[in-house]
Amino acid sequence: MAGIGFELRKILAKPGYLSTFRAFGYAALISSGPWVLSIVSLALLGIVCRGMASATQMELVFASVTYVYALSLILTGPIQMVLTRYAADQYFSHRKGKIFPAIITTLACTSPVSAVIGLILFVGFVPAPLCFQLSSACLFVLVTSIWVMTVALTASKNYHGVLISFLSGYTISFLASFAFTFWMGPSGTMLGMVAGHFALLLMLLRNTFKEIGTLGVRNLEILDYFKKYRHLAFCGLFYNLGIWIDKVLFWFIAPDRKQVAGILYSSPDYDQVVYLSFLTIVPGMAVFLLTLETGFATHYEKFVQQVLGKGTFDQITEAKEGMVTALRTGIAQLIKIQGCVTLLLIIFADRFLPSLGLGAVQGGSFQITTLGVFLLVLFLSQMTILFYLGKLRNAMLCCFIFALINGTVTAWSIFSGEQWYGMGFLVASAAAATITAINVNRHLELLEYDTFTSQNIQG
Amino acid sequence: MTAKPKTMSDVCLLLEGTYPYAAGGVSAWVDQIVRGMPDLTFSLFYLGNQKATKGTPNYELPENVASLSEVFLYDRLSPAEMTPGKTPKEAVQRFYQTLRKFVFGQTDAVRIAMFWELIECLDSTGGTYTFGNLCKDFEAWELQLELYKRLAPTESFIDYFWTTRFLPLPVWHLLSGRHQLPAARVYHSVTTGYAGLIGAVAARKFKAPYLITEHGIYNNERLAEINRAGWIYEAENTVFRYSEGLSVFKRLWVEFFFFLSRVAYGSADLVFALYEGNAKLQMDFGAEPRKIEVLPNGIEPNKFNEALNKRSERMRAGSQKHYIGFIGRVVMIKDVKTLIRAARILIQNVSGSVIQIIGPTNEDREYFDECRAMVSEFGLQEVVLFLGNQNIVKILDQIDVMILTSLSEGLPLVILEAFSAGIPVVATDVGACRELIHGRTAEDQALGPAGIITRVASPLETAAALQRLITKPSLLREMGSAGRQRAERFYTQRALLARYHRVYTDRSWSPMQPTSSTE
Repeated sequence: MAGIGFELRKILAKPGYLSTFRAFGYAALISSGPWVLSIVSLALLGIVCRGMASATQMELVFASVTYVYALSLILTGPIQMVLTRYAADQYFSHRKGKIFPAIITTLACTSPVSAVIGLILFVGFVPAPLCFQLSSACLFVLVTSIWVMTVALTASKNYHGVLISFLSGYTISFLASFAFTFWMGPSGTMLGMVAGHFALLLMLLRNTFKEIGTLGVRNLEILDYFKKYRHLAFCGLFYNLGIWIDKVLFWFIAPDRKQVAGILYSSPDYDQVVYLSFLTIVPGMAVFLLTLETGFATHYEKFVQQVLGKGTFDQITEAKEGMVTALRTGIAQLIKIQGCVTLLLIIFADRFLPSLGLGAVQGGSFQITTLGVFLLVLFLSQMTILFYLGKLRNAMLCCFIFALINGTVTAWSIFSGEQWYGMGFLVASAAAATITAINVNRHLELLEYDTFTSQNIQG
Repeated sequence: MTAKPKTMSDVCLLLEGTYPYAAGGVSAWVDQIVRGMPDLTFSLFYLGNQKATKGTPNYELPENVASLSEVFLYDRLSPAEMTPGKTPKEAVQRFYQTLRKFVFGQTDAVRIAMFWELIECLDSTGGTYTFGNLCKDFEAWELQLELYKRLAPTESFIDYFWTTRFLPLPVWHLLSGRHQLPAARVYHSVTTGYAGLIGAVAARKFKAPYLITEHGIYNNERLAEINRAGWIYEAENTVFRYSEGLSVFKRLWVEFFFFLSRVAYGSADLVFALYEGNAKLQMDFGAEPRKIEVLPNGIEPNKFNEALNKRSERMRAGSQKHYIGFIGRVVMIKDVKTLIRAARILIQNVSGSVIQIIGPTNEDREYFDECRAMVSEFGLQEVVLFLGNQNIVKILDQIDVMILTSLSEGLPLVILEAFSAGIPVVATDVGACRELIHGRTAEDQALGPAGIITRVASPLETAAALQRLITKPSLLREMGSAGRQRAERFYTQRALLARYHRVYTDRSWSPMQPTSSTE
């Protein structure tokens, strides 16, 4: 009668147990990193090309590129998250071969969509030379594809190659834009960007194919993943929406907004400040991801080992305490480093901002948003932990709250005067960081319960 | 559920893994009971392992079977059962408080009382409390942790976790089946264990008398099974002999089964044992002596009259050959190897002996091959013959002496069959063999021995006993006739049926009412 076997190993030793954790962190780093890089290269371009193109022409380029980045990040946010999850799962279950076809399949789906959106947006709503319109649409398709391609990083782990690709891609962008601007003005700048991003995409494709490439290019499994991990998809959507909503609101409802061309708006006072303060996200995230890899991740693996390796409950709890300590150390280190950078920037804002051409009001906004970025980094790091713990639904809610608060408080700040600019982002980051931290705390407390009771007794 | 009983049946039989699906002694016995009482209606409550593996029935159900309900203890629970339900908070709290008292109960009396209260708690939730609740509720987890810390703080937690998660699963299936229990005047389970538990629940629910008949002793069978089980985790190098030496997890399973039996014994009005040895074991496992009655299996001795007469004629005619018969499966537990060793000793002293091994040889191929190898090694090919399956009634007249070398037995039917055909039996001292051969009561013993008892795994004693019988025709005759008389007087199917018919219909023995019934 009593013939039921225990299927513990089969149940708990599922692959991909540790999978998503890096996803969010890298996604944040990768999406903000290149964006920041492109902002920097554009700013440089603006300075270098000052003689060749008028300020309004450069503004058009600037606004177009910003729209391309913002819209592509929001649209691919959900795809990136789910695809990363898929890649991680395949990687851990030793089916790397399935990743490349999945990426290509996704590209085959996103490219036509982004092409249509790009054409409608730039040809339909941006009055500019056709060459400019088409290259902008083209850039949109390329950037969207680049975001999808970065997912391959999860599997190939070739960070070095990706870094090289981005650096060379942006160098080509910069040089080609510089050259083409001479030749044909803003359309040339855009064409140069297209050339650079095209080169970047090719390099990413080549890298990926070399690492994990297969001859197959079709994998429809990935579509099921969108159903299965819809929380993850929404997480990516809400996060990117949350990151951009304040800027979008400033473009469309701020009294001091500026129509650049057609549907393209900018809000010079706010935009510049926010882009500048966003530069500070990179060191914080990099530091945290590093400590996460070395500290938290190893302790998490120890925890899993104790669970599966027939440890006693005390040993399991001890391993968990190790995780908590590692996490605390990581966060403390993050606060120290990011805090110092933030503090220095805030204190010396008055000194260096004027030399960048920013005024006193903008200085205030800069201080607010820099503090906001500090909190954003805290939010992102906690979010990474939530992913680690598999709490996708909670992560989604945290992102949703982030987007919601950023939207509402930013809208309020716009109508309450420029001294409040940036408050939306600050309050949203603070709230999201707090709520995420509470979530992380609670789920770490319940980690043993979650780990065991989430397993299905019936295998 | 195959058929829903419209009216109350006379008897509800609670059957765990036997009739009508499985073959074997217990199923045959149930068939005998049901067919033997055409004036009573029976409803059957069958407990199986998994629906997918239940197979086809081995028995055609007689007319007087009113219904057959089925519950499968190791089936998958439906997604609805695995999803935590919305249960009123107070009901949940009461449930977990009771569960706590149950789990940490110091005595069986407390645990049994809490068990009944738990069922009431479940009833009061109106089905909103699911197995999913038990798996996911934090209270359940806390309780599980606390028990771990008291019971096995140094053991592998994951194994503890799954052991304690799996234990309640069959009980959950079983208790879910309480809603489809057929109404009957008497409940009768043919084992303790799960069937015993649901029997107790049924009797309590319908306020009806409850009987238990045990063929083997359920607790002992589970104990042996758990001892051997490879699927229950044990830390390496654990040495165990019996329950004291078992690993914590095996002990949990053992105690779990023992508890099931205690509930059954506690609720039963009458507990039947096949023979004295089993009655003693039932007492050891917690059945009150006053409830226990020894009621052996019975057969129809007259069915063997032809064999009896033919054999007597053959024996009178005399022969240089001595036919020794072994009837049973060729498997380790029957210890055929001891028989082969005894045969070697026997033919050195008495020539002309033939040992016929009758019964299936395909159940343990390896053991059978080993036996055959042994036979040829000893050069006994002419002496020890494997005849395979034979018609027992027809072959009995070919046997002078019946031999049984089993390591373990209950009440072997072959001995009764041998007795009916006037054949003396040499049997090892296991199960009911001694009672059968020497007699149980004083009146029975007065009939004289119907064979010889030998020690287990003793080729010398077995050979000596066989030699004594085949070289002394008078002894052979005396013992044969004692056996026939014993079967006729104490082991008839008629007596068996009469006794059960009486307990089924005669209410003069008053059923004990549960002390705190609130149902």
